[in-house]
Amino acid sequence: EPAVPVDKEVTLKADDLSVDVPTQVYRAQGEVQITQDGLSLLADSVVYRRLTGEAQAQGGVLLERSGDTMKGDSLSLNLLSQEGVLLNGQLFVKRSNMRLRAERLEKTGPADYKMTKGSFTTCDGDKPSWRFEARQVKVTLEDFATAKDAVFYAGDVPVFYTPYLIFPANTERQSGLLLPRLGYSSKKGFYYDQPYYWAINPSQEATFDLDLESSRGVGAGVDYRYLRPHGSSGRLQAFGIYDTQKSEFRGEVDQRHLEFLTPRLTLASNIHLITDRRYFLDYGELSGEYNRQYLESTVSFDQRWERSALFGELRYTDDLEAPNNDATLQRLPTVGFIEAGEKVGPAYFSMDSRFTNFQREAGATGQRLQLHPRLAWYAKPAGFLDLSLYGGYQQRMYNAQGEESETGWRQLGQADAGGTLSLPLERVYDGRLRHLLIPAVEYSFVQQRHDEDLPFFDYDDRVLGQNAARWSLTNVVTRKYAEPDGVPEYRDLLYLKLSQGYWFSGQRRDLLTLVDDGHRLTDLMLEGVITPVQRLSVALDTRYNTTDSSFSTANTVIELKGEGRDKAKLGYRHSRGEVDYLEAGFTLPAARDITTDMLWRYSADSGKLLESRYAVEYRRQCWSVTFTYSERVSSRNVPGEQQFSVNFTLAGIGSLGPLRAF
Amino acid sequence: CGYRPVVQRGPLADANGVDIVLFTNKSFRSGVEGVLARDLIDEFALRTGRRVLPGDKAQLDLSGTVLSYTTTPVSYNRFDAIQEYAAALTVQATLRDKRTQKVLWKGELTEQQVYPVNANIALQQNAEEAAIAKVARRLAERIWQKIGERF
Amino acid sequence: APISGKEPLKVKSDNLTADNEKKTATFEGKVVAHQGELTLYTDRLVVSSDGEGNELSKVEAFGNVRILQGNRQATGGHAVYDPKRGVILLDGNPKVMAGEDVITGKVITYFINEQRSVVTGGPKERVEAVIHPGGKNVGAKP
Repeated sequence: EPAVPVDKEVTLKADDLSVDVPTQVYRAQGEVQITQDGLSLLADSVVYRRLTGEAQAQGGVLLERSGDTMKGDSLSLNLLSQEGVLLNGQLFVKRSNMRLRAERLEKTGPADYKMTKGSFTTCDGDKPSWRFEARQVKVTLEDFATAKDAVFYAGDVPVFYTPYLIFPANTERQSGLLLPRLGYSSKKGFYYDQPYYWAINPSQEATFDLDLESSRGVGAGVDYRYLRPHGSSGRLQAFGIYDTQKSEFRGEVDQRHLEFLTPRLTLASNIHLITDRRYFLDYGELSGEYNRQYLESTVSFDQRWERSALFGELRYTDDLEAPNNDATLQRLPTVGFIEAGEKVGPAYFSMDSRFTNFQREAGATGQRLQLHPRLAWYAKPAGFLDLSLYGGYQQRMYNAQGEESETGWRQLGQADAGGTLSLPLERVYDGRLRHLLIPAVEYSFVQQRHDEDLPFFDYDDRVLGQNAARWSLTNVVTRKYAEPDGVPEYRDLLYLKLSQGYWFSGQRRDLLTLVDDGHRLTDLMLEGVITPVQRLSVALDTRYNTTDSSFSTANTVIELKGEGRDKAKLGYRHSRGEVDYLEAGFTLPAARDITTDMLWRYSADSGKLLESRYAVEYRRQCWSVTFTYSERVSSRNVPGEQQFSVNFTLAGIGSLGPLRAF
Repeated sequence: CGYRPVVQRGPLADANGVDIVLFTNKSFRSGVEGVLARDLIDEFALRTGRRVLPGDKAQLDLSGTVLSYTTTPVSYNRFDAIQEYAAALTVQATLRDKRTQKVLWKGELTEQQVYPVNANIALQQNAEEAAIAKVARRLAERIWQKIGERF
Repeated sequence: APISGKEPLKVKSDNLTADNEKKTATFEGKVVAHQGELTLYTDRLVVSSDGEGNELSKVEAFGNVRILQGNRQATGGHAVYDPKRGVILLDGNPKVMAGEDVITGKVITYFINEQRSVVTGGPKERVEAVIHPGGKNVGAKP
């Protein structure tokens, strides 16, 4: 018979002990303490049968295991199977602060308990602000607790009954019945949103919610998430409602799936569809949703090798701002092959090639093949300068249908070349601070070719000839922090890049700005992020027109993080004549257990507030309630809405946690 | 003035070369790992003087995962219509010694770039591609800086 | 079978002094005493018998007492064996070991016939037992 593993060893301490050798029965009295493998049992007296592992404890029984404790009058526990029954006992689960009280509390396994006719809450003290009374509760400490025939009490007032409820006993995963959200909004009228969470298994979970709206009818939503082997995963979100105002069914489906067929072949799908084009205007809650500009659905594959990738994508775009989607260009499919850089002698060969089949209801359609091979050469002249030179050739082939003049196969080729010369310099200030300074000069040439009569699908069909140079000065300041474990940590305090270009000849099309006055000398560009301390970060992105000495664009975001959820964020975006927009958001503690959230979105070019949102969270030890008010102004594009809502959460029963992967 | 040309420090200095491998792509934006790999090879070849070598010759290998790609509206006009988006890429990169598979450096980086809206969505998609290209270029530069920063 | 006062007590030691008047015999120096399958080692053993039939009345051991019974072993600084009542009282940091199980306390009283031991603790030395449940069958000697 193998020796019993040491961890099963039982240590018993007491004032007195009597041992009956033949039957191996140990009777201990007086502050008896039994410990075994992380379990400790205290009682006034214990009778312990070594052969069966049975322990019968009487008087002031306290069983403790990794923070979770069972208290009661009498407990019969088997130390081998760690199963036992506690009469009129109480279970306290430390991590979720969950307290269960019952006439009969069974320990059905190392981390499993079953309670009949008891109550549970996460409130401290004997008079909990809320509790559930249930006919039966099963708790598995590592995972979930389920309750049958549970009644929810606020104080001593029974509020509602639920036949079945699951909640996280010791994990952050969300519970079954979530607390409802009630409120009023100018669009929805009075509404009651009741979410219900179902943890199907460790790698699948779903949240259903019922959305009763007095002015628009009854809606239902689902948010189903799943993990599959080899890191594949997916999510399906859907919402549907029979809109009584419009007397039609309206809704949205947003599906994502990522499948790793092999470590090098990935399939991805992201299907996002709505029933009607005004859906988001009426049902979008946040900015970016209610004023959504377009919707994109893609199905794609990525096959990769060492340094090259073949990918294919079907992409359907729905332009929600256009009267209809007929003219929107669809790429059904795009197939691309990228060679990232193969060493060929001293040079590197790379290539970007793409075939696209353009489709749309109204307007020219056709196929386009682009091949863009490039050869690059690198050197370190004088040992410290970094030089790169490249030459390439872009070949475009078209087969267009639609407007007469452009049909049939056409092709055009253009050469391009260029290079960069840079000198990375550094200085370390007393071993703690390093300033990296990289002055660099770039030159780029694109052969001018006449492509006005070629089909026009997007800007890749109008490649501008150019002959331009650009200087840049990049600064990175990094601080070295000595860590207790000896491995130093490095954090960037500052990144600042200044750059400016000069167009000797040719036209310019800067796709990343709304303002470009087209001078030969481009705007002076400054891009930077300053994080003097980890909690504060200031980002800058501005273009200064040195010819007319005026700011083309000025954008900044300042973020300050405080304790816990507290934070302040200020964002200002300005492009002369195009954008003048301010966004400010604060999360501040207003009092000991009150936190307020505020968000303002201000259109400086019209001098009025686009949207404001306020939330006040009153947090108690084991529950919290959040009141929110949001208001947005109606405009040509967007209907206005005022919304007020109340949202309860019970501590330990309210937050969605990470899914456990396979 | 105390500024000296950057001395190659850390793992890149003494190794005979690095093999840059395409990242896994979990971002629902197909092809982005190819753009990133091209910029990484360009940046590392420039900075290490052509010591980006294929697998059988290189002593180190740089691999990783594109974790996510997002486009988020960042500004609106007076009618609360979106004017600009921010395209953001988050990647996790790992530098290993090929023989011992020992991790020499590992980091998770995010970069973003704003691009404007265009009434013709096909042209806006060009702007988005340009933003992704700039983000990938910036990530490549930061990965090189991060690997060589242990002063 | 449980031993009883009738079994002969054999004792070996370096030397022996007998005191007929008090009817005691004191064995000193590496004392080894056997009775039935009980064996006792100690530095000094005082065996006394009462008046009538010279029956053993008390056996007292002093210093490095070690008692063996089957694979159970007890040690202590001092022990008193009362053959009539079949009780051994062990104190002076007494310790009982059976297989890997160990019990310590202030005083350990072992009732041989009932094969029952009672361990009492004191304010400073509480009773402590290290027990291996189930598995290893320890000491339930027939």
